[in-house]
Amino acid sequence: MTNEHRPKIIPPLLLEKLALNHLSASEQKYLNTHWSESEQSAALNKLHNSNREILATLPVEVITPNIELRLKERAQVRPLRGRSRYALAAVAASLVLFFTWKNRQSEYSEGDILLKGSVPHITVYRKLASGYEHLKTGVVAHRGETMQLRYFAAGYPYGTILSIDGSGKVTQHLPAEAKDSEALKQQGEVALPFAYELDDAPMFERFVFVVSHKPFSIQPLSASLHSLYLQGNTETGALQLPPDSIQYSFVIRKK
Amino acid sequence: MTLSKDIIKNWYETHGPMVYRRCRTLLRSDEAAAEAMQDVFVEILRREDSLTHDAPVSLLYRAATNVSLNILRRQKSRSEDADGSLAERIAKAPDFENALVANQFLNKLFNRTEGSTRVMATLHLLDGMTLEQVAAETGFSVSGVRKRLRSLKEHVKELETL
Repeated sequence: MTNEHRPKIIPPLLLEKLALNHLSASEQKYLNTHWSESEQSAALNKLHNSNREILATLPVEVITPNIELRLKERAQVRPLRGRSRYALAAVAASLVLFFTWKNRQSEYSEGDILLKGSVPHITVYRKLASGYEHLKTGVVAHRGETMQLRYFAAGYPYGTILSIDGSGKVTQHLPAEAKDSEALKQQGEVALPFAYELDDAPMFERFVFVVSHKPFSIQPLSASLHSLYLQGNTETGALQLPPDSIQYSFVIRKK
Repeated sequence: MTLSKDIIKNWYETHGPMVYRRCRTLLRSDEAAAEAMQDVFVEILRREDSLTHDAPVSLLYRAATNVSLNILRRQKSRSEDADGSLAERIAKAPDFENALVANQFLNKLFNRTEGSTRVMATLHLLDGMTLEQVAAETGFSVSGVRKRLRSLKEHVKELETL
């Protein structure tokens, strides 16, 4: 390995290819020329950790339906190709579909330009002596710390926020007490009215935000969460969701 | 073409973090990156030949770069550190692609990868890839890459040494 004329960083695309075992022989030779095996290994570890974090923050079960929906919407707006006897009707139909699509986007306020098709999620803030700290999933927190939860509905009209801790206790955060899903507000991030103090339950607290286009009962979700605990799969297990719904999870690790 | 959920799921699981990372690097916003990432997958997966592409990693990486640069291009300028301003300057450089529309026929004729000049500049200047590596990624010759990058010199001073 030589450090002469060594680039500042491993080119990101080459690192991604290395992670997926897609490097060509010449690309691998280039990496080996400028970076040691341990340097490449360290960079790969960092990338794999990043992958885990991203998939936890933007989980498959949330993103895949969004992509599917966008593909369907895109397929409905077709460009005209060539001339035909039905060109005028095709143009009219396309315009109707196009403006229908656009009108669905304009339901929401102008400030929420990313609202349509964005990911429903919750954000968690830790209360500090002066202000709040925005947390990422997987963060470590301690008993007694106060958390502020906010949700982003991304156009889904109904939802609930539950949590389950390492001892299997399920807590309902939204709605506070009702048995059915809450009618979600759509104006950006919406803070829950009450902060939440972490108790001394062990290991972690998993917050789950379930959203749907239809109202749903919360009790089956609570039961599903608890059954994950009984199976020993609380932190990452898949919930039994109501029809046409998706979920987003946020995990706080406890010390 | 209707894609199965499994195909979308597999593509996202395998390549989603890479695409998100790329978008986040250029857009410097988690939310914008999440939005752009989904647009990238829609752009790629709606093309039937994408599913059998022999280098989906490269295809998605270039698409993520292109989508992000287009977003930067539409944004208002903001004060940046050196890397941010470089990405913006590349994104906002005059549109040479329209001038090369005629060459799209040649691209298809010779089955060349669509080569965006801005993507080439990003690969070379931001990512540190050599001209040979950029050429290999975009399907152009080294001299073709150099020629394209020179066309941006006036607006991206880092290309002056080419």
